[in-house]
Amino acid sequence: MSSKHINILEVKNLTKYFSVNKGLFSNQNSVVKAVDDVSFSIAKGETLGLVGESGCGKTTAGRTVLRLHEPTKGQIIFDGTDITKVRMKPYRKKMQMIFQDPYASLNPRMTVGDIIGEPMDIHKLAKGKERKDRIYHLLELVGLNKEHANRYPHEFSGGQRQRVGIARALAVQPEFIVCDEPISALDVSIQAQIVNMLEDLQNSLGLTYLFIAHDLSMVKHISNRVGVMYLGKLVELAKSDELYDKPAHPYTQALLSAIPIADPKASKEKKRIILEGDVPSPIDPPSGCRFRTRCPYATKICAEIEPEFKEISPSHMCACHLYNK
Amino acid sequence: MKNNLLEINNLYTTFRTYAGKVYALNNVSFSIGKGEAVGVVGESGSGKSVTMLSIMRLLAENGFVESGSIIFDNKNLSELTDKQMQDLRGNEIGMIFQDPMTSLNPVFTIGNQLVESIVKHTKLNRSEAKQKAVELLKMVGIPSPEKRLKQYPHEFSGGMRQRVMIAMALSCEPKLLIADEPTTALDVTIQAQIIELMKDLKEKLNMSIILITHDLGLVADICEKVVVMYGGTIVEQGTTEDIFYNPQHPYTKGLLKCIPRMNMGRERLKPIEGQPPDMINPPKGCPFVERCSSAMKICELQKPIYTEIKKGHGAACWLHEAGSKGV
Ligand SMILES: Nc1ncnc2c1ncn2[C@@H]1O[C@H](COP(=O)(O)OP(=O)(O)OP(=O)(O)O)[C@@H](O)[C@H]1O
Ligand SMILES: Nc1ncnc2c1ncn2[C@@H]1O[C@H](COP(=O)(O)OP(=O)(O)OP(=O)(O)O)[C@@H](O)[C@H]1O
Ligand code: SF4
Ligand SMILES: [Mg+2]
Ligand SMILES: [Mg+2]
Repeated sequence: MSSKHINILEVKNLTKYFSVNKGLFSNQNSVVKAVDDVSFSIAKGETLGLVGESGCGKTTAGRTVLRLHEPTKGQIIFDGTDITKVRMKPYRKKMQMIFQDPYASLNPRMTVGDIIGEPMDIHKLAKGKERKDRIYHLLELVGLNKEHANRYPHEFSGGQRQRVGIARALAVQPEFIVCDEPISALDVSIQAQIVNMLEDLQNSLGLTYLFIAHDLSMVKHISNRVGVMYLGKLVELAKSDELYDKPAHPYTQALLSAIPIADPKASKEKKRIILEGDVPSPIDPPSGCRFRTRCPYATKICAEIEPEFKEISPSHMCACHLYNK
Repeated sequence: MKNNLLEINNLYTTFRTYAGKVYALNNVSFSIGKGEAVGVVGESGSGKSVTMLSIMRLLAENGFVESGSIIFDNKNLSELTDKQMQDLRGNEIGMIFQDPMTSLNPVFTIGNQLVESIVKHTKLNRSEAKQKAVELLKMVGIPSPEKRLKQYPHEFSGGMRQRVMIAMALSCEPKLLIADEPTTALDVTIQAQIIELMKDLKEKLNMSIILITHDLGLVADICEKVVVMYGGTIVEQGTTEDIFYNPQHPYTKGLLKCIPRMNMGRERLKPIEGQPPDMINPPKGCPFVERCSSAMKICELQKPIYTEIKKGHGAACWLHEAGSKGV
């Protein structure tokens, strides 16, 4: 059984450090351990959700997988080929990204038609009438229409701009898309429109998604499996239902308990795990388990040894000493 | 009437712009009791922030309250001078703004700004105020507050800045706290801390809260009442139970259907199709008419009147007019 046909993406020990200057008068550099030794894979046609606190490294992980950042360490295997060191141009076509901010990610001086057409030009995919037809087709695919092609981004609402961003990502017919918080900036009533559209596109075009978000109920809805990150580490990974029904890592448990539920009765009955303290700095993360400074169950070993990310039940991965017997 | 801390009646607010006049608020009325928490929800651009800025007399220069009255603690706010209004803000009404980056001064330390605000609004002297500032930062979950007070806003993360704003708004123990999306920049785990804190103060100080948010979960958690806005008007209001379990307005119903429930499988979401109205040319009739699946002829022609279906629960929708059946 060759993994090539099952997993479109395999990420092994992916690590991304940023060096930051400590100050004006210091020549000492320190490093931000934004993503640290993270491994996962995504099957063809699957959606893997990625959640975690702000600053835990979700965007960095997504960008590094696409080599928009060069990995510090680790391996990225796309459709059976190790792409960690190769020239990315041929792969850019297959791997795309939808960006976090629909307001900032579109060039304000280009028409929507040209924004969508640009990636086709870069990859020399279509010219003239064919290009135009494809742009119209893409606009329709994302629920806009032909007339929109000659307009500029500022003439659109947030939800419409996000659709333009999606049409642009689809322009090169990718197989894999990193969706970085594609709905966070949108109204609740528009969020559902976009999520349905992403699901429809997945079904009709066989797309694979890495779906980054902090709205846990939306992630659960769209993902087959969900990974939880904390301070640059992947701490848990499981099928969505399993993760939400039986969260294993204390951080995941706290995270899930903290989600407000839109139901007054259920909300009053819900017991919340309130985490003490702030998120530590990724420049100087705690020794051992990075969550130990806020973990209600932390013991001595947690400060001494980093827990291994391993399978605690079939296809349920977790990094926590509580499961080390 | 007696127990209402704040009463807003028939508020109309507009903005002058080069593109034309923006009709931001059209006849907004609601009230809030002492110790009560009201959630204000609704589409982006529906007028939630403008309502609060109108109350506080903090509208941008091109914004005007055209008519309506605002009664706070038995005072008619339109009769107060600017100076009196300023005293009221930060003393009796605390406000947390939607954008924490713009509301802190980048050139002063966090401690400086907190102490300044405490001295101004309480009877404490500087050294007592400093002590209080430390307590407040601790209360909003910022570790090593003594050290943190010496830092500047840019050295704080977005979530921490937001918590400083919350600490500042609470420093004067206001009668009313207006919180505009106070936790959007925060993680759920930190958000949970802040929400516990707000609930606690509500109990202890009998503080009233107006919470503006997109997050219906938060509303379900802390609010007794909910106001639903769409296109510059209140389309529905009622108790939290009324709104969540017995919504009347098609927009409220649609909004509740949009959110995926934790216990639901991967079935399809039910979005509200279409886009919100343009407030420079607002629709003549119901603002929701273009997106409403129950819309009738009259909805295009005439504004529906807000009608109560029971005490404290009402909606502005033609479906609730007796004569509308079968139009
Ligand atoms: N180009 C960069 N240079 C230096 N540090 C960076 C850079 N990009 C990200 N970081 C740091 O890496 C860490 C992870 O950031 P990242 O943007 O990946 O977080 P995130 O999980 O996407 O957060 P959010 O939910 O807020 O988008 C943060 O501490 C951030 O400050
Ligand atoms: N200074 C201004 N000049 C012109 N129009 C304005 C101004 N401030 C607000 N508006 C308009 O008033 C209307 C209501 O805006 P408001 O900020 O109250 O929306 P909101 O409900 O708070 O939305 P959000 O959820 O996005 O914060 C919008 O149409 C907005 O464009
Ligand atoms: S008044 Fe008409 S258009 Fe407006 S919500 Fe009611 S049914 Fe729909
Ligand atoms: Mg991010
Ligand atoms: Mg607002």
